Amino acid sequence: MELQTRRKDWSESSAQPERSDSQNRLLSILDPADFALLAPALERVPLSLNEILIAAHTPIQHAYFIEEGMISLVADIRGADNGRIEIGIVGYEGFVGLPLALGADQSPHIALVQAEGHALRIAAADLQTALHRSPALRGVLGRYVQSLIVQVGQTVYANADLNIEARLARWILMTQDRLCRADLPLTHKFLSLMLGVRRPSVTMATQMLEGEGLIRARRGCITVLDRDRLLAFVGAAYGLPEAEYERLLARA
Amino acid sequence: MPLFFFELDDGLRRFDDFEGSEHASAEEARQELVGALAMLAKDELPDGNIRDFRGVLRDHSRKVVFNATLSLRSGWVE
Repeated sequence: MELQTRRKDWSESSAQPERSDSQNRLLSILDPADFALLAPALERVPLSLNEILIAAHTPIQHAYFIEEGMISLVADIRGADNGRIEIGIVGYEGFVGLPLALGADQSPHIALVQAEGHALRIAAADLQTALHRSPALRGVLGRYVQSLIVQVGQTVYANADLNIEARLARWILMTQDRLCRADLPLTHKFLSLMLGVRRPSVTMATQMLEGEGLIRARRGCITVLDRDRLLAFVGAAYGLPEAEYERLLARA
Repeated sequence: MPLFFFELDDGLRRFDDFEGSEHASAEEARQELVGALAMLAKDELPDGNIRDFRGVLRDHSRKVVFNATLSLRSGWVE
């Protein structure tokens, strides 16, 4: 995936962004006129670990254009740790609050901060007003939704057909794409929840990837040692959603 | 919550647990172990006619408190 190589350097700036200084890729590819529709309502906010940005079955107050950090879209079936399975990942390439772009006001899925960072948020009504005024804005957000549908579909495939170590490797690659660094703050407990597998399975899969020299695992942290070989290890199970994203949302 | 350690063995490879993990009870840890064994078997089979997948559960002092073996015994009829 090329997302990480295209990222701009970040420096702290004012709460209300200019198009050129947003780290969010969707905002960065908007036409200036479309960005101007959103800009007065955008507010830069921190994202704290485990913060729930979107709660299930609750009217969504804000959409979040992620600038740094990582968000998991989670099916929270029983409202407990062991009922949570991740269905999608969003980082600086996307936004959360998708139902708002599709004419809906809530979702049964939650959006949970898995790696802290910051985002530009916009109130639901302000986003919907801007969407109503600009077909081009609807197009950009709609194409992002399509790329996320492809991602979710590939995750269904991965969960049905891949062994645990390949699923873990795919997930590590997707996480690195979004955090843009080699050291990833991933505990085994978190991984077992996100991958929907038992805790001993995570330990086993981690040791297998470590034994191949692909990663190094320490308590609460996984370090990518050889991304090229991780890519080769995962094969065709990684890359399709990433390529679709680039095709659909190429920079102007 | 009490700390437990899991070991898995698929007959070809052995996986130790150096970190351990907290679980609400020994019964929950047992379910984790047996569930992981079943998933390991799903990933590895149908490779081989005779396979044993073994799991060991140890408590916080590393004492073995539960053993599990999932076995396949299969063969063509002559």
